[in-house]
Amino acid sequence: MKKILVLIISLLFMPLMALADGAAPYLKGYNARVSNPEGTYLYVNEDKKIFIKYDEVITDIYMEYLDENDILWADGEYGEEYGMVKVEDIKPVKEKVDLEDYKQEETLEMYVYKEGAYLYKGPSMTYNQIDGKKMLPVGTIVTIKYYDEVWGYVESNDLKGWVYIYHHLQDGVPFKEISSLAYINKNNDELLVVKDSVLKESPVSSKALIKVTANEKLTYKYYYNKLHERMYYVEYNNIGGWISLNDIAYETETSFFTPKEINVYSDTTENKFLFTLPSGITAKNNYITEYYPGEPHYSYINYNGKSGWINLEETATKVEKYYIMNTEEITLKDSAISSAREIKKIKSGTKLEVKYQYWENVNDEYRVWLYVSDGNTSGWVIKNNIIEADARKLYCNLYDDSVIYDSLMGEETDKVIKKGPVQFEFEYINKKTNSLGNESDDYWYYIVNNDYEGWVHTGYEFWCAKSKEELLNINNINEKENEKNNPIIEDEESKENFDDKQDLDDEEKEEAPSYSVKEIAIYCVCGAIVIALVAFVVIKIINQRKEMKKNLTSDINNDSSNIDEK
Amino acid sequence: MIIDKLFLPRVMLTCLISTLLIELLVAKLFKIKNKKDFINIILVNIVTNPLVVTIPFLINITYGSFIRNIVLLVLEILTVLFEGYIYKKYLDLKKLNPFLLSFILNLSSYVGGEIINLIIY
Repeated sequence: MKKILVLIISLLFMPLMALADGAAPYLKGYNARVSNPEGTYLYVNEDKKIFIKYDEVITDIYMEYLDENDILWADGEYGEEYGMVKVEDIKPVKEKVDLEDYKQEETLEMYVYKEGAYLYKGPSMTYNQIDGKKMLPVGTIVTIKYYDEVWGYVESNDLKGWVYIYHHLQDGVPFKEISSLAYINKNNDELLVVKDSVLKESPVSSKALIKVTANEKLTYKYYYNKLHERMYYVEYNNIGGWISLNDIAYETETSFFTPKEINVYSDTTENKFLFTLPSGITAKNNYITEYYPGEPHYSYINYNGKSGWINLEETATKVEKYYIMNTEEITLKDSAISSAREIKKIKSGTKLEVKYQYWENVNDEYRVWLYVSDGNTSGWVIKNNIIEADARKLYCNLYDDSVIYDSLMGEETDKVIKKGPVQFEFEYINKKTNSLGNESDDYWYYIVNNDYEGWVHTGYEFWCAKSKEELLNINNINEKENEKNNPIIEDEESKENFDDKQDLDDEEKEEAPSYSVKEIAIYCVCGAIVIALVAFVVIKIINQRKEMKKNLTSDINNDSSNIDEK
Repeated sequence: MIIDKLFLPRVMLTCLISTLLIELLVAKLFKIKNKKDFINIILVNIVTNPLVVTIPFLINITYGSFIRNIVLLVLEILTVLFEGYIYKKYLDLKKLNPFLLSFILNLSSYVGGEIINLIIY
């Protein structure tokens, strides 16, 4: 029963599981036996360790770490516990490795940047090193087709074997970097130094080789991923060294819009002010720094021949064109600050195009500004000050000629929109309470058609289609019904007969109600109740017969056993 | 102003048919073979399914989607309990807990319905 349940639930959720699998990193685990005659320990956490006897198997081992005391550890599973075990105490169960298990679609190209790229007979330091304890020479470029996140199989000149390639360290764990390989940059990407910095001897060393000044352009050849930091190998004044991601910006082709005046500085320390960008201009980001939540994010810009650094938090971003409709009067300002000059009042029910958005940091809370346009004037408004009508695109039939209003809940104009198919762009429901305290909904629709746009007002909700085609389809069905009731008749007598019939029909039709959505729903609920009661009665009847049959059979059996006893 | 009066009855029928198909299939996986048991499953769904479809629809129009979701949850719980009671009383279930069966069948038809919705819409 349990298995079936698990199977069904798995089948139902398999698509989600497949998606989840696609996102997970690739790690190929292996099994190992304890090779230390005295056994070893699986360290589950600081307080818990499990003793494992000699020759016992630890499964699903992957990831190897070097601690501060140069002891090598691996993650694995024993029993139902996960933990860390010393690599020197274990040996792989299977000596032979199937390369095809590690085949990947993408090929890695890596560069040996320091000594220590030892080659092993298998994808783990539990395997022996290849004969002669060989390692890849510094400066070797290797192409890796078989790999997982930790190990890669290389063939270089006469050397073949597995090399440790893993870069990232686990958060909060004090382990050393092992890999001597860096990733190659094939694109000659350019970096810009954001502030006075240094080039270091290696990604994992703190020894500085040479100083490099702000705004220097450098091309990087290799990169190395450390925890929260990437290191780039660059050459400066003929000296090669490693510079941190935190000290550089990379090329980009994005742009920004200034919601207010923005200060421009000589570097990202913001110590030296250069000039001010005016409000309301669009400019390109030439280089931007890496984005970290909660940290400043800078861009190197060029404006009117002058260059410098700005804080991107002070800029607005372009939004994909969308429209809103304000339900109350709002005021546009010429920049996104509270004290900015007011430029125009916008009456309620105006269709506004949103072009930019700016998140203003106000005492560690964010206030959102929108740069909107009514077609004539553009300006800034605080998003919270706009109550928006629901934007939607629906196609509905207007059954009566309707007056267009000058604004939402405004005055009637002399324009009338003819009945027929229309497109709605916005809907606003005004909740009204009458003198008796009864609530009702007052519907306002913003209509768009070939001739004009504007608000119409109805006392009922429209039942609409999501597309023009669906609406036309429904209209065709209605037309056919109309034709059936209003056929074209040539013969006079038949026409008289038909007219008489129509009169009768009309009388009936006058009495026949026209239904709203709510009414139909109520009728359907009543129908469902009736169906439920009938079905329940049928269940009772069917099963009573079954019970009667059962009782009859057991009575017969009882009688026969009584007779037998006698 | 209504355009299509038969929209809701069509939805009711579609929901009932797809629920029955999914639940009967899952019931078969649970080795329910007796013809009378299948008939009971069909009838009990005819009792519950139209109500679970129409009542939330009416609630949504009248009170909005938040109340509708609450009502739907309550109706689903009542459905599981009611169907479980019928299964307990009338089905030949030797090893299976009838309420668990009711829960699994209803969960399958709910998830199946959501998947069908996603595919079509």
